[in-house]
Amino acid sequence: MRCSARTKCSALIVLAAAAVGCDRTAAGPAVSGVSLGDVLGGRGADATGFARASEPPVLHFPADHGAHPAFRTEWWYVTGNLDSANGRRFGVQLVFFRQALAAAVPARAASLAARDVVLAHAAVTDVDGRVFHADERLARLAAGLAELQGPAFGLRFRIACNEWSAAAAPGGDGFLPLDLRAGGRGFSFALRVAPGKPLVLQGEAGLSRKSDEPGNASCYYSMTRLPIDGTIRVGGAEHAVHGLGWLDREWSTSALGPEQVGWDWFSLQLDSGEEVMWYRLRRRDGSIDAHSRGSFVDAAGAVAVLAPDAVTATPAGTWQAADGGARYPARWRLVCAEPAFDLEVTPLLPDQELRVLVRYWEGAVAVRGTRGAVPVAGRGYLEMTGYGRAK
Amino acid sequence: MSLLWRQGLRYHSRHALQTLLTLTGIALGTALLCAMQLSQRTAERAFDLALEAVAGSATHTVQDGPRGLPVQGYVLVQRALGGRGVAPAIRAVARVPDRPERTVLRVLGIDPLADVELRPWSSPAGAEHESLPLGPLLTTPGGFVATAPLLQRLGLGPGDTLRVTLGGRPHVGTCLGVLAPPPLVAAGLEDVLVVDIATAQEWTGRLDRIDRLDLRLAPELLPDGMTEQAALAAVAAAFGPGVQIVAAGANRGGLAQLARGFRINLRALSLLSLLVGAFLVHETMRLSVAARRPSFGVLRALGARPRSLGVVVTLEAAVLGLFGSLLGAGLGVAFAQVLLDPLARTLNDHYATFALHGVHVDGAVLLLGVLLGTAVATCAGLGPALAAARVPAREVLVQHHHEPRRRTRRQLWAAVSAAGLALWLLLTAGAGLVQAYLGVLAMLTAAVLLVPAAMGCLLWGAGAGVRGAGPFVRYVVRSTAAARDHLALPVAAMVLAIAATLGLATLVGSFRDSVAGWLTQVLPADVYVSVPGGVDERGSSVLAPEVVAALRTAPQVAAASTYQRTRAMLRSGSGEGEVELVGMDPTPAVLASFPFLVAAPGVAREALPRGEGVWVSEPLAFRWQLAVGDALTVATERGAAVLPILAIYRDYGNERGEVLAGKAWFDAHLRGGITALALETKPGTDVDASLAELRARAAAAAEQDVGIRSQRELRLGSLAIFDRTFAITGVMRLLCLLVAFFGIYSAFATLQLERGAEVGLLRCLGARPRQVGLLVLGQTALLGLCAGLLALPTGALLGHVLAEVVNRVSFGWSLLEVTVPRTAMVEAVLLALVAAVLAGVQPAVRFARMRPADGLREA
Repeated sequence: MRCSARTKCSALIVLAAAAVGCDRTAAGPAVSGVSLGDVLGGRGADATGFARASEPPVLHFPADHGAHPAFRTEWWYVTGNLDSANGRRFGVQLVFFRQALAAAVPARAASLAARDVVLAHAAVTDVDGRVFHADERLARLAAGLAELQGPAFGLRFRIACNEWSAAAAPGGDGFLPLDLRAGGRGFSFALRVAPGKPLVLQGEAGLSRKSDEPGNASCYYSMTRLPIDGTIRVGGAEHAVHGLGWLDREWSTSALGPEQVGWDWFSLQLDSGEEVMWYRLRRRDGSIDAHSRGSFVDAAGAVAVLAPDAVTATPAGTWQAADGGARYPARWRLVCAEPAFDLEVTPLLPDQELRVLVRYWEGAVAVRGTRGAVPVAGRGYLEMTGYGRAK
Repeated sequence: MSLLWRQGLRYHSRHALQTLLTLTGIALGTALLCAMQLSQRTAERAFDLALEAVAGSATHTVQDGPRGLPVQGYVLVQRALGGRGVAPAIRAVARVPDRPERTVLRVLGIDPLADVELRPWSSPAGAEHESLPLGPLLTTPGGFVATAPLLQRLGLGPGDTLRVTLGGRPHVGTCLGVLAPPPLVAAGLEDVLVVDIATAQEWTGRLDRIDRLDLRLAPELLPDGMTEQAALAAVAAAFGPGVQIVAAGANRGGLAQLARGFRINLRALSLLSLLVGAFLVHETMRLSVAARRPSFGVLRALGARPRSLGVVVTLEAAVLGLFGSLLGAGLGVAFAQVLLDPLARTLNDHYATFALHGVHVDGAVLLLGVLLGTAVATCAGLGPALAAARVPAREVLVQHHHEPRRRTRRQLWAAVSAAGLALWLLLTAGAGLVQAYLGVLAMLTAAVLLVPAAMGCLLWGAGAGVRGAGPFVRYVVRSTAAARDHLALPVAAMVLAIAATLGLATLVGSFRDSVAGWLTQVLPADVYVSVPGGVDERGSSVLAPEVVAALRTAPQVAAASTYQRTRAMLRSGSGEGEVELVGMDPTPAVLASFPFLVAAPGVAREALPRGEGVWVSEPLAFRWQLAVGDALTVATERGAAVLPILAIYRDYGNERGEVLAGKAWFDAHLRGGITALALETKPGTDVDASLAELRARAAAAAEQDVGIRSQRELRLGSLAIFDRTFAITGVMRLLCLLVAFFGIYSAFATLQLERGAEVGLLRCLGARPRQVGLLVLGQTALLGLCAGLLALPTGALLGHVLAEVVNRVSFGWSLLEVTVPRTAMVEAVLLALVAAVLAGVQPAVRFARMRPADGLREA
């Protein structure tokens, strides 16, 4: 469900709120106070003319790796835990969002006219250097400022925002292997994401419901274990790296309901060859939303859906940036009866907050615990949003 | 309070009228100075804010003249610089046909998504505080936002539509919301429709181009390891050669540079008015010292030291100056409001389109005005203070006072030296405006120094003239002549004030005649066609080819000249920069009528159409010191082209100068459509009647708002702009006259007041009250006449210097003919007479009513 969760992207919220129109009251409070829910829930924003996710989608690959312009929002989300040859650890994140500003626009002659914008976030967690780097790019989908194409008609997939890109390499299925290029102040990376375990349809055969209202749902699939190779440059030094990645794809027009204020999202890869995805939707009153969901993928790739009451996620401690701001949980414990696991989730660095247009926490984590009765370790990524408002 | 101070206070409170007049004089002078400064600062600030609102916090701007930049280059730069601190913009001028009250608006096309670093108010980050409706702005063709004051002026709310024309082509804008940027930015956006860059592309018809690219090359925004130099190289590489990368701040104070001549001229005027104020203070203090000599003598006898007396008088002057200039500072704000409107119109006519609403009251300007006013008054009081310090203690015993200084010879020498200095300064002024003004100052000083001698001659002549008249008339003339040393200074002040107004009248009148003459010369065709727009575009909007074709083939039209106006980088001699360049395809009539100042013999007219050279306008030739035969290098898309200058022509239309080239050469080297047409109708055509047909023809050919005007309309329109431009000079002149009048009135009124003894004696000798009144009026009238007559040559000379030196240095053009307008001469003499007679009324009445004994005692 990274879906709704992810939509938060500050700027997207801003854009979507702005897309509502000039009547600010209709868009809710000032942008900094706009929650996911306000935007994804589609309140105020006119969803007329956009497709809604209400049935499990019929997906065709590789075409569905590409854009779904009938939906308002869509993203390509890659995270990874990587090691250099001399044992240096890195976390890496690169995400591209596409956001439609209107369902339909008249044909226009201007080369810079656009219906969609592309927003991208990139981050590198330099665990040994104890530095977290993050940056963002934002551009209209026009004239090559941002690009989005394929995979179809012999064109390989490519999404780009300014100089950042995720582009399918020759010789694959038009999507994987995927070459990622991004960089900002103090960091850059060039990575290749290779095919790995088969993709997983999240929710009900790819339909991930976020609230009771029909249509408040997204199409969501994941690739939970993908080999990644390449180079990361931090602090002026280049490191050849290798490791495992996780790719999420999600598109929707509206998802969250009005009472949902934030989420905690886990993507964990266990040494046992199994993966856990869990998202926990939080409600305005502090309770956990009944639409929280997850999945458990075994070593062979078989998927089990995790129901809302299946997993107990308990936060422990808090962390807050030096300049104040949101107060995030510092650690987590995830406990599930069936399949049985009890996992401690600990950030590799406390400060992995992206201080971009809108702030949120997303970073590499270490996993330690038991699977059944057997001790297990692992790595993963954790995203926490909506804590600003709770404060 | 010491005795010294009290006597001063008593004197000034007893002579309240005189003190009030002095205060008024100083106040008016200071007010004028402050008003000029305030209104100019307001204009410059508005211009800079407008620039900054557009440029944001850019460190550099990339431009390529009117062609603009290709979007692909922008994309390359965006990628090369890592997508940070790079923002495109398109600027244009829109007319609003439905709103007569404010017809011209600026349009600013931006990319809010790229503006995070440069124009935070428009970016999503800024949207946190303002409700910029990004989605609709990007996806609604013609969508715009504007500040609340502008929307209010236009009577618009969100959702309303507004018809605009850009480059004559109609578009419909839709108001999407209210722009609420930080106050300083808002001030720069007061007349701006903010649109998405795609809408701006569509409105300007340049679908794959942008106007400029603003860069913020800060270390924290550049990619790792990239230096500013490397970034600039990357930018240059993205756009190819010929592109201009201008460092920010190069344009700051741009208006001050644009309108430098204009500004300095106005400042000089206001300083002159303060000078007149200084004369007033000097006069008042001098008279007050003269009147208090006995008291000072007593004080000296009681032990007051000379220095104390001097200090007291100086301080009195300073206090007068302080109060007067404080009053003036307040008055200046009101005056500035009066000046703002003509100033705004002038600047909008000639320099740049920007909004100007309400005076920005700058405390520094007011403070400076007060300081200057006080300082000038204090300085003016120094002379009298010295006189006070020199009063001997025995003065109390000796009944007569006098300042017996006969300095005619020394003054003459000083006058001759000042005149020599003036001549040298004016002849070598070159392009130095300040030097030209110093020359004018020296010239006026010489004139002032000559006043006593000239007055002597005039009064001697008058004395000779009235030899046969009755004793009363002779008494009037001779008594005035006898007191001429005493009277020289107020007369000199009056001469100066009146000469200044006469000089200005000469300048404006001659200039207007020259422009009118020039207009008839350069407009040989019958009908002129161009796209109406703001001054920023300066007629560079391209006429639709369909319109051109339709008009050229109209049945009434016999021949047509075409003009393609663009801007190009030029270099020659001592100059280099972007200059307007016009490709011209002239008819023989247009070719023959061009008003050459200097031309290569024989070939100049024929060689231009063949592309063998260019013609350069006088202001450019003056500024860059170009001569016929010099080579001019033009940066073209195919590299540099070198052309000889064939001729220099008279042009009052563009003080920045321009260059004319043949159409064939233009088409081969530069790009740009036809921006203007000059149509010659067939013999026997009724031009005014054919205008409607031509307009209908143009309207049918293409959807473009085209200005089609007869030669007569164009000429009158141009003269109307000229008159508007000098309206501000007119206002200034009026204010100057006011100061002058107060000066004269005050000086003469006080002058008469000290003549109580003489009048008392006359009464004792049997003069009747009416005769005494007439005597006073006769004397002041005589003095007024003197001043008026002396002001004539001074004013005429000043007019010539203003027209031939200052005007040329300021704008680079010479005038066809300089003549002193007769009406202004009559006006000057009348003004002097009326002011002098009015000044005499109060003393005349007073003396007529005075008991003779009181008069005698007053001495």
